Amino acid sequence: MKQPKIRFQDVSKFFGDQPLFDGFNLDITEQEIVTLIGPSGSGKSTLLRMLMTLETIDGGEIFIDGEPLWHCERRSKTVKADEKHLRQMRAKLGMVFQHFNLFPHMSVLRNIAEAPIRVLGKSREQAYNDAACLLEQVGLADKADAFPADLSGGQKQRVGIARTLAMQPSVLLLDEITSALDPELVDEVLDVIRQLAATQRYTMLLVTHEMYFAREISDRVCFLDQGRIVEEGRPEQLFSQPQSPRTQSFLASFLRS
Amino acid sequence: MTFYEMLPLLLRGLGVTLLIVLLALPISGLVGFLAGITRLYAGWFLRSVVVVYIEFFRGTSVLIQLYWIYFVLPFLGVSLSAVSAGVLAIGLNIGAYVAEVVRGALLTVPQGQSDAAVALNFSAWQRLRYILLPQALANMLPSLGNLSIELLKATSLVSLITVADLTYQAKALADLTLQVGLIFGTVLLIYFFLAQLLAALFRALEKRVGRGLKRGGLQGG
Repeated sequence: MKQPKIRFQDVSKFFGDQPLFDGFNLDITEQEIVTLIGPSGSGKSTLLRMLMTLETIDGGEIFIDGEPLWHCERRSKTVKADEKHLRQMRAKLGMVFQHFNLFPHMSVLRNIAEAPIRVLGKSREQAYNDAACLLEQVGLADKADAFPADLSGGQKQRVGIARTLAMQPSVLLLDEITSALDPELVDEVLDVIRQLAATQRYTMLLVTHEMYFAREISDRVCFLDQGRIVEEGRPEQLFSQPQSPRTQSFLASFLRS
Repeated sequence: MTFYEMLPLLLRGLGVTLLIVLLALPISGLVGFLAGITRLYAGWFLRSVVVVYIEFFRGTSVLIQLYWIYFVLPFLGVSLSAVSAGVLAIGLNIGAYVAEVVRGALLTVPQGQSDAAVALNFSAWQRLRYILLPQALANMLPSLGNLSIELLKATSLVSLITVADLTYQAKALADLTLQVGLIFGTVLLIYFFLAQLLAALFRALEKRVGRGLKRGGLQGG
């Protein structure tokens, strides 16, 4: 069997002495699009943040392309990952955030070009050209010189996506990217993701509350509750015939609202 | 003695005061930024060293610190000229306050900024240099302006370790001529004018740094 792109293996995570995850396992295949759904506090975002190294793990291991994320070999010994190893691993990942987290002191174009210049060592000219192309791809070619504060939420998030793509990750982590948006702005952001899913070959891990979108885009949907995957399956199966009573009541509460 | 006869002495004193300000200001800035950043991000050992430095220099009198550096350190084998001792004591003292201002301002930058910088794979130094400090700077400038004025006023203490600064010359002239009102009035105005100069300088800096951020808006992320 092909090695999974991402593997959570026996991962545990505590907040204080309260376990959020205790022996959590999940495999994601290369180019698979997996959506995590579940009530708030179920740990969906924490999973993404542990993978992006924004949260540490307290036990187990996460593998990317078969390589451990939180440990590395130094002088033929396995030790806790150092900054050098973490940066190598982060190069494969990109994350888009619920609250955009654009850099307010930089123009839109610089927001996108800054990391390619500083981290990838691209020339300024190359980075700005590439950034302009990405802006066009997300439909904001005319906003290159604007500052984040001048943009609507939907535009900010599209810049956020372009900024992440500029680093050429192979895995995209999308953490509730439409949750902070006014309803009428949700679709312009989701359209960008739809287009990416149709034309590019990213492995994607999404957390979302947009059930119709999860159903439409995912290869697999996992319902998470209290740090466990209660149920998973193809979207049409999980949304139409949920097996577990907890999944049923969670989905029912969404239909009502 | 007429006022015009006193003026050269006062001006010479002013020169010494300016020299101490111009040397102590960069020291306090450098030490303060390093200490503030270290206190936030370094490992426990360096952090403890910095905490001891900050609390010691904030928690004791500048004058006693000055006496220590000038009168006591020679017994430990470190002899400094009076001006060097003054520059060092005042620079380190104000530096301790600068450290707290820098630390506080860095803490006001939202966590999401640092998260995004990690996700874009910036190194720890790049995150600080290009993402966090530029945003924090706008927040810390008003306080740094205040501290620069504190530093200016603290320089008058060096007159007590034989440095012939503005205050020292004023005191000497007053003892000599007994024209206390005229002399101390003049000196008061000079300090006031210098403080206004520093305030104007920092206001200009604030405007400059603020321009980019105001356009971006601090909550613009």
